[in-house]
Amino acid sequence: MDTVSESVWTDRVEAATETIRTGQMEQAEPQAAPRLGQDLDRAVQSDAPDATGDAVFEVEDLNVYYGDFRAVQDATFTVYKREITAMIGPSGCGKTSVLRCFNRMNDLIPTARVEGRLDFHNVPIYDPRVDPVEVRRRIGMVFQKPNPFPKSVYDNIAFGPRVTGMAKKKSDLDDIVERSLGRSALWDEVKDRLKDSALGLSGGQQQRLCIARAIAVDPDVLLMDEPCSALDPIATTRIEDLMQEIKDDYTIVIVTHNMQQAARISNRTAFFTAQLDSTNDQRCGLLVEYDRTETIFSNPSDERTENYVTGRFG
Amino acid sequence: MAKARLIGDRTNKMMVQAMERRATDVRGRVFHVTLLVTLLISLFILAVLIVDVVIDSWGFLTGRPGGFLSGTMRSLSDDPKLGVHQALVGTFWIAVFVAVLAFPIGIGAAIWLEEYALKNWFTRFIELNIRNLAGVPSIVYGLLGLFLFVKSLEGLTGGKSIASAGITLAILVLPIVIITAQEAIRAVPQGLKEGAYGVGATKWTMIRSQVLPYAAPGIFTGTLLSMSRGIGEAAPLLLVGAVSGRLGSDSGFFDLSSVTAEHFMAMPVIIVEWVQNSGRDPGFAEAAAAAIVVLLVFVILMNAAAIILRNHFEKKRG
Repeated sequence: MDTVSESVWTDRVEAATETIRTGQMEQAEPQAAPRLGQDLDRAVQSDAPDATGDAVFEVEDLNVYYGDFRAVQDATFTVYKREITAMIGPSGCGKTSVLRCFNRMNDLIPTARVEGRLDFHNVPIYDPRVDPVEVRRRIGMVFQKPNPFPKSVYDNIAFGPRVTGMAKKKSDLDDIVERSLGRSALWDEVKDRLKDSALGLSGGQQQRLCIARAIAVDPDVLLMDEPCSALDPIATTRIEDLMQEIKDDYTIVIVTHNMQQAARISNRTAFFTAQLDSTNDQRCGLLVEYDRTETIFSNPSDERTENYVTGRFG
Repeated sequence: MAKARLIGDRTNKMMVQAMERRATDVRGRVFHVTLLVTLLISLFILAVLIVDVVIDSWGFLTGRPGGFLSGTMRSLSDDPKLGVHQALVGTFWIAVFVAVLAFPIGIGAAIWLEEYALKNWFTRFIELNIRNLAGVPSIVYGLLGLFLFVKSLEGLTGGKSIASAGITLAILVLPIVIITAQEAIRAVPQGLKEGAYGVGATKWTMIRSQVLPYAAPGIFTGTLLSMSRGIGEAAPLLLVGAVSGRLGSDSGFFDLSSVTAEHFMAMPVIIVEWVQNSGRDPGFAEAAAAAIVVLLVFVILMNAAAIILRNHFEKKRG
């Protein structure tokens, strides 16, 4: 960004914002990922040819503050298209804070402040001209606790398409509902109770309903904030299988406390830790290492990562 | 030493003994009984009041139940045309004013405070003042009504009219409406809001589709209860001109001209009036008791409406 003159930058923001609005992200000009100039990134790309130029999120020196408290310090990494990226680390390491930056969910916290670069398909999503509502439409989110609306199963799925004006006709809505529930492997279980309250479903079903609700608006990315932490192992397995099935169509970023889960499902893993700042005695989240998941779990380059993934810490 | 005893305790026999020793929890019992007594005291007082009023009014209400509702103000308590019709009309229209003015304004203010306002010293100051306003004596609102609506805005309200009284009482209950609506809105789970935002809802859509339906039962209960409180107020109405004499012709319930007509009557005021009259004409004591029963039924009907509405919205909430 420093190398680009102000006017060129402005043009790019406009073009990219327009791209987001019109939904033609596939035609976005190829992104020059290497300009990040990070050793880590180059390493990642050298053994991951599938990912070259397919950056979805580019994060550079991201800092998240809540009031005076710095929750995340200088995180830099890249999320690639059609991959599952896991963020792991102990409690309070800032992984959820980073995740909530991706769809500007942090905007809902009045004291939250985000600094640094966070580009989504080349669009700086914290630019004042970017509409957070549109960002959230493109970047769906599944929450830690299943949060179905107190409406019928059908209305839960149809909510997004309705409010975003995607589908006006009943038949289109029916289509979207069936397709979304089908993709989230829930259709067979609920097809006879579409009119029943979603609150009557089991916890695992509710979470799959929330995934269906998120993909009903056809997002580009799915953010998942510990989606299985409130579920039993069987329901967890179903969600993990589901993620494997839909990752061909969606880029997924998942925060998880469960290292085995990260190892099982993700292509890349970011390990965060909480570091004590000696100047003000506060703990601040720090991205320690980001690499292919095999590397993080079998051959990490940082000692802290190794200690964590082998269970000696955290 | 303590540790040693603990280990000693762990023999099967001693554990069984310890668990079988069901000591009576004296303090817990006392607390339990005290709570029950406080409840019974309040219920007892309420029951005495109601029974007393019903007994006093029995002759009046059973003597001519329909006639009392359709009758009007009279100077003698044994006048067969004595009744509360003018007061019922006045109270009905005051309730309409409160509903039309206080509810939308109060609920709107509550939504702004909870969902839009930045949490800074200014909004905290506003909220503090709303809480203080809820505790201001009703006679103060009566003074406000007298100066603002009866005198300054006479052209609009018709002076000492039902309109002035209705607006005054709407302002009286407004702080309570705001506070109860705020509490109902605050109880909406954050997860629902985030879920709506997460699929691309705008703030307005989120509020309309999630916050309001979820908060509706609480909002309706709170606002209707505050209205019941408001229509029982006599003091502010005395100031804004509820009078017994010089009432115009007895108008029907839906005669809009009565709203801005000079002078009116309302249920709480007629009760005050008749209690005062009972000095010279003891029959008015019974009439006042009968009017109290009518007002009680009015309020109970409104609370019943509140419960029905709440259940309706709760069912919709799922």
